Amino acid sequence: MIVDDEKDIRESVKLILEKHNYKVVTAKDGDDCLEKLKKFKPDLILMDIMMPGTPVKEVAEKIHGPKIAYLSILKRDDAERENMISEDYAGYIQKPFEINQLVNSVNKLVA
Amino acid sequence: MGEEELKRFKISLKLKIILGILFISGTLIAIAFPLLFSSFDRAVLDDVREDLDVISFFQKNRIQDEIEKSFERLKGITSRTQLRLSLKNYLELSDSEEKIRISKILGDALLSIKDFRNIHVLDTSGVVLASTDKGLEGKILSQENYFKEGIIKDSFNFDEEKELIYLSGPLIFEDTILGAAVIELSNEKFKEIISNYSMLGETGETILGRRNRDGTISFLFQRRFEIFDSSGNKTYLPGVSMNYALSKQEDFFEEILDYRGVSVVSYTRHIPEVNWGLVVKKNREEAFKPLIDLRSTIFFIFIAVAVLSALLIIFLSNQIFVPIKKITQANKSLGKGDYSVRVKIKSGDELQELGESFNNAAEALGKLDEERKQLDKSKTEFLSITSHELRSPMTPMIAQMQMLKEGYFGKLGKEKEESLDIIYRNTLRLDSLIQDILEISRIEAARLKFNFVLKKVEDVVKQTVDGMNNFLPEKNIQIIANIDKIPEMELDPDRLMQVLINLVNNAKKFSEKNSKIFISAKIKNDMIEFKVQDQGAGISKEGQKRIFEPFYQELKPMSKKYEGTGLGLAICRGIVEAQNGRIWVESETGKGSTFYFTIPLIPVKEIKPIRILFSPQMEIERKILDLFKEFLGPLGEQEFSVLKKEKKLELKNLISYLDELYAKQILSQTKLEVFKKKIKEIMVEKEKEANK
Repeated sequence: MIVDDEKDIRESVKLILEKHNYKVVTAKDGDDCLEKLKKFKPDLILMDIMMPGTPVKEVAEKIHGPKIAYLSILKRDDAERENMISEDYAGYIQKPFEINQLVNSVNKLVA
Repeated sequence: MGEEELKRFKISLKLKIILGILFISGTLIAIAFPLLFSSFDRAVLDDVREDLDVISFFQKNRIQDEIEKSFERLKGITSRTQLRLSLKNYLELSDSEEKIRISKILGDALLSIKDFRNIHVLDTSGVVLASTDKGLEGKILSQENYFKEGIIKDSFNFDEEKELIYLSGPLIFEDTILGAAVIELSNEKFKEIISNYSMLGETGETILGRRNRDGTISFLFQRRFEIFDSSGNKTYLPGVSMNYALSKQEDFFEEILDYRGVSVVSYTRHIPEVNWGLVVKKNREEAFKPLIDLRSTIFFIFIAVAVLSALLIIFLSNQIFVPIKKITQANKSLGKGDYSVRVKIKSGDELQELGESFNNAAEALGKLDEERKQLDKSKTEFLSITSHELRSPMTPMIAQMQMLKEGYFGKLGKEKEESLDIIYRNTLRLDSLIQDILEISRIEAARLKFNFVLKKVEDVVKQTVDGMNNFLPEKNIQIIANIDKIPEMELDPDRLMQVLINLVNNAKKFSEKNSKIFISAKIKNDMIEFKVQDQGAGISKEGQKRIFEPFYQELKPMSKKYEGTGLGLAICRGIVEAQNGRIWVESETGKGSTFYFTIPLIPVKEIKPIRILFSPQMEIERKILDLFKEFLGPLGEQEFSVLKKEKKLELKNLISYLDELYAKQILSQTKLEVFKKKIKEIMVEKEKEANK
């Protein structure tokens, strides 16, 4: 599942991953994500850090089961220092990303 | 006021005013004191003179009265008809009856007047015919002065030895002198007058004197003070005042020696009836005691007034200077950027007004400062927000381009691929530019994060070098690191790498193919000094000064090829300076450049904001360089770069450097002073800027 408030990013990531034979669902923010999780059980959630609505950290705490990887324009250490993300997460991909890197990371996380 | 000010102003305003007032009052007192004293002197002298004048006049009168009274008593005897008739009869008839009658008259008179000691009646040849002193009858007293004078006229004779007064006068019957009456009178009355010291204090006395036939002077009656010579005899010096008195001079003597040799004030009188001299005198010491008392009283009053006025001056000056001090201190705080400072002066005068207007000014400044801070914050926020916003679209753009490039949507033709490459490359450049601006906005907002961990410098450099080999591989540049043994220390490896990468990238960009880049690090004082040396084209003098400014690019064909964001070195400067380090470059065109920077052995954890985009630092450096050029001519630029290389551009470093130049006789004394003054002005400006 891709969670990002920017439609273009959602769609780009979805397109890339679908090309690599992943089944992808998108959500436009944290609340939407929680809503959609009622219907879908994804293996991995790729989630932006800065989105309108419920803060990402709170959203992440409500998610049980799927691995969470963050996708952010911020550097990982900055995001950690600003206390914007949950303590345990599976991966961190910085935007803008190289698509091969993204695919590799997702492959690793899902495997 | 602090010590600092006392050093700066040799005499404080307070001291000046106190000294001024003391000088004025001292002068007034110096003038007034003698005038005051001389008028006191005159007044006291006049008093003493008047005292003695009155007393001596009074004493003279009493003595004259007494003499007159004595003569009247004598008259009372000599004019008695019975006595004269009896005497006549006796002389003619030698009738013993008459003699008894005479004796009776004399006896009655003696009884009725108690001062009378004896009364005799003598005949013209001096034979005592009758006397109250029976033993004297028949004796011849013709040699006695009182007889000699008394047979002719009423006389007054004083006998010192017998302490008696002889009153004598002729007994006349029908124009014929029958004989003389002699009264021995007690001198008690005179003694009483003379020994009345009631108005004469402790040392005053009245003395009576008489000139003897041989010209010597003798005192009548006992004196108040007796003096004895070495053999125990009463003695006295010739009284000078008495001499004047006996010369019939009636006058005041302000300073004269008396019979004891003591300095006295005296008033002389002459008693013509008996040709006596009368002197009333007093020791000067006692006479002028009021003056001395008055002087010491005045002196003590003066001391008291001086002390009181000194206290008053201090009190008044405090009234003035305490508020001034308050305002001065408040002003200092204001200068240091504390706009919340206010002064409380409730003196109800101009100083309170001054304090109030100061407070108003401080408030206005505070508001301005608040606005400026807000503006600064807005600027930083703007930078931060816009960079984030600017970066967001980059992600899908880059992703889509990569997808195109990777053939997600089918294979592209050669021209399309080349076009896409250009778009992609420039998009990446735009992204890194945005990243750099974001970084700068953090440095400026002191939001640059440092994450200190214990690590070896050597490892960080090695990691950097390893990671660098991917950049511009076609140039085949060898990076050689030479790191001193530096123990593990607290540092932020990411930031250190960021600076090193920027410098090495920079070096690579300007290096020729197959050249070398040297990296070294060594401990220098409490810092580690890093050095990144290349063999590239070098940087011009102007470039060296400005290379750390944002967007500065040397106009060179080489640089066009490898355009960066123009912010890399500015960011390096920001990172290094945030850690209180220094970054600089040494270069010679054609011979390569060497970049230096330092980081502290003990990291700085309180990060201060540093201005990069709108930095006054470069401006200040340029101003200082201009001064160097102005004062040293062609040498200026060289000296400035030496200074900049050796030390941080701080006031004390600059001043000591100028002193060195003076010591080397490069600068003259007068130039040195002007130079220092101008440098101070610039640095003060800088300080103000920094405090904001």
